Amino acid sequence: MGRPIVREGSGISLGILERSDIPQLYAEFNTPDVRRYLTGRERAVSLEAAYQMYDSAQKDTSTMTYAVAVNALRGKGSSDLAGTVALNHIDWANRRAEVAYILFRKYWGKGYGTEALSLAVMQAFWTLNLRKLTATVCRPNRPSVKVLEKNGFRKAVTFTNHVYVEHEGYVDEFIYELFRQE
Amino acid sequence: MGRPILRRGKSVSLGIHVREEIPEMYSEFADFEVQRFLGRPDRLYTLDSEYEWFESIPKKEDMRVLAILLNRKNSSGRQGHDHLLIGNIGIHLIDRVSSKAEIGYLLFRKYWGRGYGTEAVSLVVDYAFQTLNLRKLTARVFEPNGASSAVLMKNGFRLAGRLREHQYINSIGYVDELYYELHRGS
Repeated sequence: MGRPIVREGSGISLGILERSDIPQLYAEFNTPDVRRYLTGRERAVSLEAAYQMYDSAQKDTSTMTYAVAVNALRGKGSSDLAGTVALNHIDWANRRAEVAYILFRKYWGKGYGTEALSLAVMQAFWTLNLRKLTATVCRPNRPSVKVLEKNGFRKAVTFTNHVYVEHEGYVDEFIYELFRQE
Repeated sequence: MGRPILRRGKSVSLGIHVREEIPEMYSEFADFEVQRFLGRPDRLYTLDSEYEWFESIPKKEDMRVLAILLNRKNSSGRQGHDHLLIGNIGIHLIDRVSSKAEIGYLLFRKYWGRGYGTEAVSLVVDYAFQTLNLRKLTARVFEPNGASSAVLMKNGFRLAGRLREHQYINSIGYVDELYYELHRGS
């Protein structure tokens, strides 16, 4: 059975993240390159705990995680999963959310992150009817900063020497924001 | 029995919350002027949920919540003080790896405008840096709450940026959220 798609893009699409995706996601999250700037990177999470997080997220209306699926691999039998993009801390009273994304190492540098974010932005503004998105990123994570800026996000806050990153020490963290254009 | 006091200032002190004061806090929190700058005015809080919150304080490693107490001469006239609850102050999102946290505070309305907030923040900064051994604090303020921004700046906090039209406030509309930061030793 193919993965249900919620937003179609040219290189990748956003689809439903299935419970059966968890082992692959879990393995990829535990590689050093992907983990480097991930929130909660200091924690050692078991596969069982990863399933529990998935299950509790299904019941939580303040968070939505989508599968980033490579179009060329869809329906080919092999896994199409290239990462995830999530709308977190959805605040319905203020009609905003925080967006976060992860791509597996072998899908870096192909523009998939930029397209995944643009699809998530459309999902947030036109399906969820939100009016604003924010994203948090640290200064050394340049590919992620670029993905935000290509999608029109604007740097709103700079925290100096804010978060600890291995081999780099305390680095600056930025909050970016994007408004829906009516 | 006196409650434990963790920091003593000239006008105010920071102490442990006691169960008996929860109903009083609950009714003070419901004050519109206090509530609208707290971030979640859309929620309904019950007295039971306030007791649950109180019970959870000692169990949570990632936060510390303290009572702000007005210093008063002991009614017996001699040594020591008794204390009057005037608000509370918290250290939240304690991040041990990055050694930072966020502070939040409120004063009951009738104690506004007397410098108590400024002193309470200076005491909690000392507690965060010297007792918790953190290296950095942040705070968020909705822009119309100028009194709270003034408290932070008097304590050396620096504006790190603003999220525009970020929060809807009753009878004002969407307002900016200001982000402040303070490094230990700065």
